[in-house]
Amino acid sequence: MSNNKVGLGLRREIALEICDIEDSRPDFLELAPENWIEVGGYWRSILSRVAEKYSFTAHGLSLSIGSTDPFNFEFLKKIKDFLDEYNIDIYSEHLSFSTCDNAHLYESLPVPFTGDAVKHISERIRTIQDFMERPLVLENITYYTVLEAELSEAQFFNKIAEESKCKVLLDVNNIFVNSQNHNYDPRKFIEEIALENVNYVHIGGHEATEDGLILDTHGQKIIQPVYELFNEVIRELPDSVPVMLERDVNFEDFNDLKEDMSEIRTILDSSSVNV
Amino acid sequence: MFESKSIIKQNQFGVYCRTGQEMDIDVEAKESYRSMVLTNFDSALRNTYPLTLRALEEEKWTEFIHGFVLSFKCQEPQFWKMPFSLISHEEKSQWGVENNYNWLNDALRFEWSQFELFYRKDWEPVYLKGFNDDLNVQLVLHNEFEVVQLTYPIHNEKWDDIEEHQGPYFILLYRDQDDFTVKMMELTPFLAVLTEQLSIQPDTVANILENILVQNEIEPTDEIFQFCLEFISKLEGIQLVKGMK
Ligand SMILES: [Fe+2]
Repeated sequence: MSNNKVGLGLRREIALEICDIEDSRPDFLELAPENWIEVGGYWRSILSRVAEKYSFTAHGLSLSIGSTDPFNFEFLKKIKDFLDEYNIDIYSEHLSFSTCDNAHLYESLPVPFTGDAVKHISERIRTIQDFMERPLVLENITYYTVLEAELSEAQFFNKIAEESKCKVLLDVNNIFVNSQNHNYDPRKFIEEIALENVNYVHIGGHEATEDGLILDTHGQKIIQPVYELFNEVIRELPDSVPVMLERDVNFEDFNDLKEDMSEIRTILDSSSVNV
Repeated sequence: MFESKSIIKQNQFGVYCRTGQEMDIDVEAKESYRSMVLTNFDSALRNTYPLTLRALEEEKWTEFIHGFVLSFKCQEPQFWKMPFSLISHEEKSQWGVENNYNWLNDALRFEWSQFELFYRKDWEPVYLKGFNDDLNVQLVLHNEFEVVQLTYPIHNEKWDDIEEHQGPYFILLYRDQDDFTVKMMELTPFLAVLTEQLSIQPDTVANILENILVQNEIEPTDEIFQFCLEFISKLEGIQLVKGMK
């Protein structure tokens, strides 16, 4: 039995199927606390059923770590209680901003890759880690614009992790999508990012638009070049970390998801054999 | 607050995404980001207010929603609760009245109540004795219900000539305790008040009833008490009355 953990996003569309899976079960599920906090009725009953069978990781939506707006500690307390209630160790979020001018935008927007932003964000991360009493795990998002870049994205992550002692959620699909959209070699990103800070990995599918842009829609099967990149990341990582398959839309064929999970597991297992 | 050049640019970009108001700085793909933000709001609101959307029709709906995103700063960290902000916006902006949709506020409140009740946090069960037709006890109701007062018959779903059928209407919306769906029951004004008072007043049914009768200058009769008992057993039937203290 390997230590490798392969997870799946808990989406409402597949929650019942997830409850009833007999074979090729995910090892854990990822959920967004914001979508479940203070939810009762039908969905609470489903969550309780799911929680009997699986452990969770959390991927938050509302933190807005890059913003200059003050934190909403009242709500953060609810997230903390939720994490405690379900024994969730991994509290991940996006390295981005989603609130501005005292308003929620409900979208992950890119922050500038500058020294000032490193200072500002690191300070906010420390506040959050103290409050949540667990490390904050920050994900590389996809971005379609670079606001300003004194540093490369990987250097930006490294500096923030160094200053704040946060952890990194490495989204392999996002590295691939960004490298395509901004014309760089994804391997360079992997070489540059300090992999010892990575304690969680995302992988998923994406979609190309007619005008050549690639969107991280998480609606397709994972493509080969992303698997190849994933394989490289996994071989470079010092420790085994949980890997989550992201699928946000297109749930018609659950077997697609099972196939992706099994491919991820094969790559993980083959890399642990080689160690 | 931390304000460097790059973070000021970030903030200008964020404000542009919400308002669409031009900024001095140039940001690549800013229109795509603005459209992603608008789409997020729009799709959640369509999902929460399908009847309102149908009645306003596309063009007016878009005008209404874009106005909302532009001028209302949503404070709600949970996206599923965001649609409630549309009601606060409408109450402030009076867009509905200005555009001759006098029913808009009713429609939003009614659809939101239906939506919110489906998701509302569960009532914490406590041990209770069953109600035994004794009016000198205090009843316990769960909180998975709402009495909505409407001027327009939004609950009838057919909204043709809605302006000509002004109420008031009192609709009891409640979450079915077995299958979790949200159901409705039309109430008389008297029963609407009674239901609300039973859920909020820490008093016996007899006292609550007596107060309502006095306030409305109604002479208490055996028929009225009998009628109330029948109504309470109906509420017990739909498990809204959970028992007595
Ligand atoms: Fe991701």
